[in-house]
Amino acid sequence: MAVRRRSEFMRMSAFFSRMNMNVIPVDAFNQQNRVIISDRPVGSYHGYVNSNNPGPRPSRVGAPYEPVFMLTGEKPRGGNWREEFARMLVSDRQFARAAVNYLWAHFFTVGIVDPPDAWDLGRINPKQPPAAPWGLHPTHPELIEALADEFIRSNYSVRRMIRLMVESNAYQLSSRYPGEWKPEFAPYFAKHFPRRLLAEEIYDAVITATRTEAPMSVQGFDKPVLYATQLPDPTEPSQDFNVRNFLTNFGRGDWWQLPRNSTTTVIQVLYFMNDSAINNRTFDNRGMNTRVSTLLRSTASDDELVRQMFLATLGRDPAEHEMATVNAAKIDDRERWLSNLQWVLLNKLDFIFNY
Amino acid sequence: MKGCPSCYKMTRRDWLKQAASWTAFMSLARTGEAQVSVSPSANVRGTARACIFINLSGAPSHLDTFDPKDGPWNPFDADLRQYPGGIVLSNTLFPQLSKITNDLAVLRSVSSWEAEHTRGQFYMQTAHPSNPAFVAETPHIGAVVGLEKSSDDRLPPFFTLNSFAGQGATFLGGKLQPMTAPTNAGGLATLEHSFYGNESQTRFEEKFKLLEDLEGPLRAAPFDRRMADHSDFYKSARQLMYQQGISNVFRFSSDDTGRYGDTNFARSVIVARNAIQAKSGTVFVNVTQQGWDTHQNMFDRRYTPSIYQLTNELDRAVGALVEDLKASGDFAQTLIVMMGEFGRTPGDLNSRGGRDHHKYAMSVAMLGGGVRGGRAIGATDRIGDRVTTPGWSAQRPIVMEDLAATIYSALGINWTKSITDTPSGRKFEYVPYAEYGVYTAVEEVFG
Repeated sequence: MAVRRRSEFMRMSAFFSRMNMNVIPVDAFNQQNRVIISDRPVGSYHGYVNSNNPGPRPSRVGAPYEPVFMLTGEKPRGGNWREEFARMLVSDRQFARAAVNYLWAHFFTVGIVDPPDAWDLGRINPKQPPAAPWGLHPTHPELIEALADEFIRSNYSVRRMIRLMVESNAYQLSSRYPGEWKPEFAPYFAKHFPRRLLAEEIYDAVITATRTEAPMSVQGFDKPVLYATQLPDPTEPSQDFNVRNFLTNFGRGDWWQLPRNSTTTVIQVLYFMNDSAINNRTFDNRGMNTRVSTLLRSTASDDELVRQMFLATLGRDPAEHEMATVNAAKIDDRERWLSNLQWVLLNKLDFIFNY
Repeated sequence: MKGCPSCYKMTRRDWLKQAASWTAFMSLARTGEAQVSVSPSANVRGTARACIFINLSGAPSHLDTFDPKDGPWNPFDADLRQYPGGIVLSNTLFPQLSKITNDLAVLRSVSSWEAEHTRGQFYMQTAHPSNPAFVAETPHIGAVVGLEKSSDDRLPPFFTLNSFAGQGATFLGGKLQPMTAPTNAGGLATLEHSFYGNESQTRFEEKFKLLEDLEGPLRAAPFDRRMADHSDFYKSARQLMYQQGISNVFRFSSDDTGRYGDTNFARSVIVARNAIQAKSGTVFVNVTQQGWDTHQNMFDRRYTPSIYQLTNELDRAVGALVEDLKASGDFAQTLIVMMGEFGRTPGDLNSRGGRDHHKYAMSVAMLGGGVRGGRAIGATDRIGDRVTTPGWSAQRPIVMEDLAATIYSALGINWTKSITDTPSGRKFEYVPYAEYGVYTAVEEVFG
């Protein structure tokens, strides 16, 4: 990309020069917008400077620009340039490579090209490797090509690629390496790399563990949704500030100017320990029928209750030493004991990390 | 470029060629030799204990802030006045700062490398160009300051207030990540566990102890660095809780908001003041003021934001901040910097009553922390288009690398340092090419 000229970028932008974008607020507070996109049949890109807008600016020569797709030199066949752009973009093999790489990066924490949005297209062909000391950019160039082929063969089925990846041996490797781990092993994906859950995943995990799912209505959906991962837009759930606040606090971002940030901060840890959004779900709340309430009302043994709590929150049985520690801290007040345990399990590292 | 003294259109390559050790630098770059070097001639001032960096996000018009000129573009109420040292300010826009020009150093010969917000913000936050290959190892200046200076562990060393969408600590690690606290008058509610009335702290300690006991094995052998960082945060968070001194940092009274203003920005400046005055480990506070991207209606008071609104908000909060820091004896050791990512188009306004992006000239204001005030450094031409007088020893426009060196110098940090044990092995220089003297601190700011 470094050798590209500004005029090439302008010709790429020209594909959108016949587009109209109408932004319409859909709620009373102008917080949520819907964008209606339509296309004019004529027009092209005339550049930015016009005589009504004076001032010392760098000159833009060469306007009007006709659209040319930068990677292939192709020009649009018909008048709807946006549709043509979409066709050209998706037909380009790089689209398939980038898509499968994004999926890989989600499931394996690290992409075959990482970061996934910074491909060096000059260094991806194993038949034309770059000059030393540079190496190929993908850690597994043949695998990326094979995954791209499969994606195209399956008619771009995301479902197919997900199934392929999660059913693989590579995906099922433990996060604990059997032996002494060396950083040089990392490019081989020789173990699973733990990652902190995304904001939506954390919210969904908390409500599932504590049995406090609550329907959220979404603009344009006829049925409410239960899970944050189902929300289509960062302005949702527009009716529930507490959920939006939770998601913002854990770095959902606004999908536009504020990028997603899944690095932990001390404020997030304070929130997890002390905010009512978490703590209210750990109490015996018969109105909400929380996990603690349900377990308290069951007739199972204490050990079985601990086991159920571990399964519901951490997805696993307690280890022997964990059971011993929990029993050592047992208090007569069962509600207090179980509610404490729920809080502790939510604040454990293996709750908030995918490993 | 040669033979045109008033045209400072220097490129980076021109500057490097003028560096005395150009050949030495190039040979080092070619062999990829990575060494930590420190230039012995770096004059590190060490006059400030901490820095409050006010990020004027959106890029303020220099002609309507710190570098005003007489011209037909000014509104009728501009009321420009001259102050000692060559400073010119609008009394309408900056009534408070106009009273303390003896503390103010205005740098008018600054130039930006960028004309676009994201890249400009990145450059301003890190003093490095935004390069996707290196972004993961380009930390915020605040994180570097935290690394160098923080000794007290009670408060995080690096704060960022009033919305943060930018670089964090990257490879420098979890403890140096910026703390982004919300700013409400009631303070930070999550500093206490409060669900059981008087028994709350006891209940909290009970839960926390069980957590520590249960988590012991995983904390001792975390799966990786990210998990280790996350568990460290539990220790840091616990240390912040139930401490009067810490929770007071996040509290303020209606007296405070009466003086600073009651906007998100003003409240953030109050918290910045508190964090600095607490002297509990915070050494860099980045406070962002949004809204400076004034492409239209700058002087229309009915439009939000107008220049009147932006400068009033800034002037009022910084005026009160300086007053309070002087009263607590902290002003001389607290460096305050006000800057945006680039300047705005000079001379006449555009067709919508605003100004657009302009990278060739911009202004930066500094106070406190060893800054010798009552001075304007450098000058631009009649309409504010290009730098005509650099006003400092390097005889060229000041750029972000120089400003970072100046900030590091004030804080007692040798800006020519670099770190070689980064995850990639690539050397991270605090200020690019600084050890070769290409960029340097603006000594004129201090004396």
